[in-house]
Amino acid sequence: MISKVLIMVALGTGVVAAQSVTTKMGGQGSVLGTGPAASGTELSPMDQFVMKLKLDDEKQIPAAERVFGQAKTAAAPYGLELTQQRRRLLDAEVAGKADDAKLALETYTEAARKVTGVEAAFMARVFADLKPDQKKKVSEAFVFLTGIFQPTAATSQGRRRGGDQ
Amino acid sequence: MIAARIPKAILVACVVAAVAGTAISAQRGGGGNVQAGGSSGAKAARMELMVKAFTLDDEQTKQFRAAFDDGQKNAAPIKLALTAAHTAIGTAIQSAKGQPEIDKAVLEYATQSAAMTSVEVKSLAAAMKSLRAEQLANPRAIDSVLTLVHGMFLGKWDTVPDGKTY
Repeated sequence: MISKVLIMVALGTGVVAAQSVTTKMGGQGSVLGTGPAASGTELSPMDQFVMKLKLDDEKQIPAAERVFGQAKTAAAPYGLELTQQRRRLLDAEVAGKADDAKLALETYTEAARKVTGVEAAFMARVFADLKPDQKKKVSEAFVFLTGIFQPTAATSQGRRRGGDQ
Repeated sequence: MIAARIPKAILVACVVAAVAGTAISAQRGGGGNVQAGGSSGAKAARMELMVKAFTLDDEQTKQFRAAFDDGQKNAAPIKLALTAAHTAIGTAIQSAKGQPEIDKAVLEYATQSAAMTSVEVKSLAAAMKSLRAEQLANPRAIDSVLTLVHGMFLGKWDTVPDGKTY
């Protein structure tokens, strides 16, 4: 109930930074164009994820929040690694050091594998608590999680969360 | 009574947070550190932000544009592969496939993610060849622009950054 009120307040005031239950779980763009709106009035990807699956307020959202918090903690070092390897890759490319660039990209790939694994594990954990009709929507809902645990990309409002994104 | 006051309290908190956020944002910035929004509220596209970050002249701007236009072309098939790989992960979970199937899809996605990063970074490196020594000696600008190029080829690159990521 409170989470719905919060979402409504955020929409009504145009303040996406409002700490709704779902935006507390994060929110950034996805490969399919679900990024936060430049105007700050659209739902975050996590809001859309929750709405797509119609997670209930009583059990499923709190459970998802807990798992999300754990996943975010688990993903943090890999996010940092991604940021560092991007910079390392750039330095190598600028200096024309092919070996360094190759190494940076290999390390990046491994960190990306781990952080994507966290994303998949989060989805699988949420999946386990879903009702049959909700489970049918998982592949559609998963789109909204794209890169949710990775460093934040630039937005029209500056960087939304920590990390590089 | 208390329940009726909650939305009002939240609304006040939201407004305070928004005002504070704007103030903090306005205090940031300075040489080399760019934000797409800006304290004026105007929204700048990536090229404009890069011009500001590195203080690019016209010729450098032309070379930056050419480098990222090339990158956009190279990134097109990777974008499709990224989307397909991400869909495969979701489908594997929904279909209750085993962990090996999910792991395989995750690895494919990571591989495509690295490929996209490579295109972004190589494009930036190519563009940076046009920079002068004093421009290259500005790590703040480089970090800022490196952030700016993340996800730039998921849509048209010279647009206002919208936080799309992969």
